[in-house]
Amino acid sequence: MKNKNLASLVIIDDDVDLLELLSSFFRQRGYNVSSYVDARVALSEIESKKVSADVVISDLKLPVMSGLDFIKRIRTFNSVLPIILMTAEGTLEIAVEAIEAGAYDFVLKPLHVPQLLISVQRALFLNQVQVENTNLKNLFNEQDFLGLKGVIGKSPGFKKAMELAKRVSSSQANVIIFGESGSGKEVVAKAVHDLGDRKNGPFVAINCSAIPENLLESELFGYAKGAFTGAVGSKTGLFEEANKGTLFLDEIGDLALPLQAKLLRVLQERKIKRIGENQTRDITARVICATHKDLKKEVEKGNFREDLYFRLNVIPISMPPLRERKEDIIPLSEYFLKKFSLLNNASIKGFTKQAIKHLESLPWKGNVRELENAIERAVVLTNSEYVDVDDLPSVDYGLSETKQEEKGASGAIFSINSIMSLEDMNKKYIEFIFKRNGFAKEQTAKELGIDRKTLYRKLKELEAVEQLTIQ
Amino acid sequence: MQISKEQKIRYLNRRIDEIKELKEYLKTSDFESTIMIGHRLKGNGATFGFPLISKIGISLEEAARSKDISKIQESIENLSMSIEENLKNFQ
Repeated sequence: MKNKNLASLVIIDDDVDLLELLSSFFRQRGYNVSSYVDARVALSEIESKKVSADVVISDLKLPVMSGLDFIKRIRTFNSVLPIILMTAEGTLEIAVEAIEAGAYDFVLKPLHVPQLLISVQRALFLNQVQVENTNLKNLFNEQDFLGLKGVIGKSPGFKKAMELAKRVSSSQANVIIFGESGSGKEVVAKAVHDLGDRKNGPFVAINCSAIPENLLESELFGYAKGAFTGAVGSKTGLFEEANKGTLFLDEIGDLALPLQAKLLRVLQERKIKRIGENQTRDITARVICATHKDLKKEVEKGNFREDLYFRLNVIPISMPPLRERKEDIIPLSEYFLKKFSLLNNASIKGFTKQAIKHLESLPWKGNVRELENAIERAVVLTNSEYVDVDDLPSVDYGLSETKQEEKGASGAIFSINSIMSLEDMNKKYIEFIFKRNGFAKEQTAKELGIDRKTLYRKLKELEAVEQLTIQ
Repeated sequence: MQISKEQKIRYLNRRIDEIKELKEYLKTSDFESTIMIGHRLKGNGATFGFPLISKIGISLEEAARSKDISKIQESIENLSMSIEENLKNFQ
């Protein structure tokens, strides 16, 4: 955050006495002041950036170029610089004219200097918010790969996936995206949507493993009024909501078998029936699926319908895990650093050389999502202008964070120093395993001996963990 | 806001030069320049702690706008007296 006492003021007045008085007043309060008797000189120096200006205070009635003309000229190259006009002409018409011309505030002479100070402080705050807003917009609107906004990556694996996404974007073929949790499957799906003819339609995403089976069916297909207890009104399903757009079904490998049959029918017939309704409705949404699972193996195990697998697997796109595309780690880290610095008002300039090496060496089991979390944490916790190794997770991330707290002197993972309820103990253990696995849900569920849906439910109960982890 | 004695004295001394200028403008009927000075006094007098000088500035500006020579003269005299008096107070 910019220190207000380092702000730069430009003061313009042909009244030398006032110019001296105001310059001295603001300098005593830590402002950098540049003063001018001629608005033309000030204008030229601001435009050529010879002088730095966070706020301008200008007299309205100046001999050669008036304060209003000055504002009009400034606005041709700077639309946000706050300008405070001073005038001895206290009419409403002049005040309105000044504000319409783009003045931030209007103060009357004889001056009440403390009031002017308040106006300057408010203008600085406004300026800061505007600059931050512009920076954030620029960051999120950066045109990156294939002209897509905020899509970061330069590794061959990433490029291959995105180029394939571009090629299939204009077709109607079914697309399935394979990749580990947090690797960016939704980014690919969004790219297919944004690069194709449906870009102006809705992009509707749903995680099939995060919602219980019976709820998922009503979410996807909608229902008629009275279809079941509690259906007090009708509901449009996501297939319909995504009409003329894209429906992204994430973690399709976790879809229950009865729903797999229904999905297959929708993909074949391009029609749906709301629950409790006989009427069929045409759907025009393009369906893109994704999974972290090896669907071929799931078919062999009998967990996934073979006919649906073949129906979906027309164009498979694979997003490699972050550890297999190390070239993307630093560009992504820099992007997240900028993003979280702006969001947290932190002025962090970058990473130390050691931190860069360290980032490239970590396994990133939770992929891009874990990297994002790690950078956010570093931005919040660092005391330095550059993020260093100490601000980042260690190689045994998760275990290292919890080992002091939980390993204890005995070397056991958990030492029970105080009585805790079974529920708290459960939560703590889930949190521990989740962190140790770099926030990878599949591995965590496997180690805990529960399925992913149960893990999701339990994670939602863990508010503290939820903040750290998954979208 | 605290304005130092030095700042106030410097302000008053500058007005002495301005009185000389005003007298010249009066001789040449330069009303525009008189308006500028009157306007400036209106804006800065009270800011420096001299509300009477601001009032004189208002009269001077109005007199110059209406090209009323006797009122301009009167304003210049009032300004001169006010400055003299204030400077005396600082001695």
